Amino acid sequence: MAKLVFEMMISLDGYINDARGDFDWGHIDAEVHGHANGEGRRCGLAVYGRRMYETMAFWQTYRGDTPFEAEYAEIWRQTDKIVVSKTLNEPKTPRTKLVTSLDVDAMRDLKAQTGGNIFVSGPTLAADYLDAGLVDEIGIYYVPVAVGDGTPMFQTRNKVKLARTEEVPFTNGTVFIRYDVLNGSNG
Amino acid sequence: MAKLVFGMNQSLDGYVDHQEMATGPKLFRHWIDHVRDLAGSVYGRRMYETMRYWDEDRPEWSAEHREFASAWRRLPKWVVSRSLKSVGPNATLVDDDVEATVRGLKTGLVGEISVSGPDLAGTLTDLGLIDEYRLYFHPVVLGRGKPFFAGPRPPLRLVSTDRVGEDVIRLTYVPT
Repeated sequence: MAKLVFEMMISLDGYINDARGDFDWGHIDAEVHGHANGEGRRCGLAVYGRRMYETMAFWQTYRGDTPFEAEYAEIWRQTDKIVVSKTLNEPKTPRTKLVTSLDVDAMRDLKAQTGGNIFVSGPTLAADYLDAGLVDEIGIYYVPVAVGDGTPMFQTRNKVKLARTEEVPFTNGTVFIRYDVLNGSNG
Repeated sequence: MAKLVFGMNQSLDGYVDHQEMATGPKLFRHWIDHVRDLAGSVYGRRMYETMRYWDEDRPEWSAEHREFASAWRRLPKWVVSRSLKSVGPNATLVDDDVEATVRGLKTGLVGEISVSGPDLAGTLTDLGLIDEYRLYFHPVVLGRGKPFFAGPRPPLRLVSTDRVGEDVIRLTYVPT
């Protein structure tokens, strides 16, 4: 039975990007990248909505400016991916399967048939799984800034109750906090 | 010179809707100690009207509730409102120059002053008057609600991360 994980980096007011769609306020230095790479290694299967996939696809060819970026790119390239899109005709990267939908029932089946960790990105896709009680773990990197508006990480219809399992403060002011979802299903 | 702090219980997605979050005995004790240690408190109208609950004894209260009420009544309060005509015990109505009043409090008082809630805090943030932000993150996601931050804020510096109460993690930030 796979574990479904939802992790993102957000502002203190809960946005993954600001009103302009920018993320230049993100705080990813070597220390944070090292942690993110560890998370990337935990991911056996990455499930992407179209927007997040198109944001991330550059890692296929980008060599990275730093050793941590190069390591992240290698981890990303080695990860199996599913992209959920009705508009893309074909995947842009290897190890990538394109599906037109991955609804709640399909994700339930996928969890049952897979082992390890499935990481879902981004918020639109994750909201459906959160509301259906399918997400098992949430990870949040809080950047020390409030941006006022943008795309919220959490777009759930219902309240979600959690239990904190760890917190990692970084020297650049970013804080990572990990939670188990209490109404998640893992069996 | 007093320090002006803005701290509230909130969900992980930054909403302060208090009825959606639980306050266990350990967390309640934290808030009793906090109120007891304050030199003063500045309220917007809505938060003040919510907190006025503590001005009158209720028969169903526990000893801890009575302790909190006692501390809150002893706390000098300034209420910023143009619509309120009067305020309760140990409170002063501020209906004109908020900036001058708050600067005066910071100069005249010693220790910590708190500001509540998000709307008034937003005004004081824009005036550059808040010295510390304390985000009490409860283990819950709401998806909607009243935001802790009324608007964008320039980057902050993380001062501490503390476990508080039963299951809250408090992140404390200061302006850079």
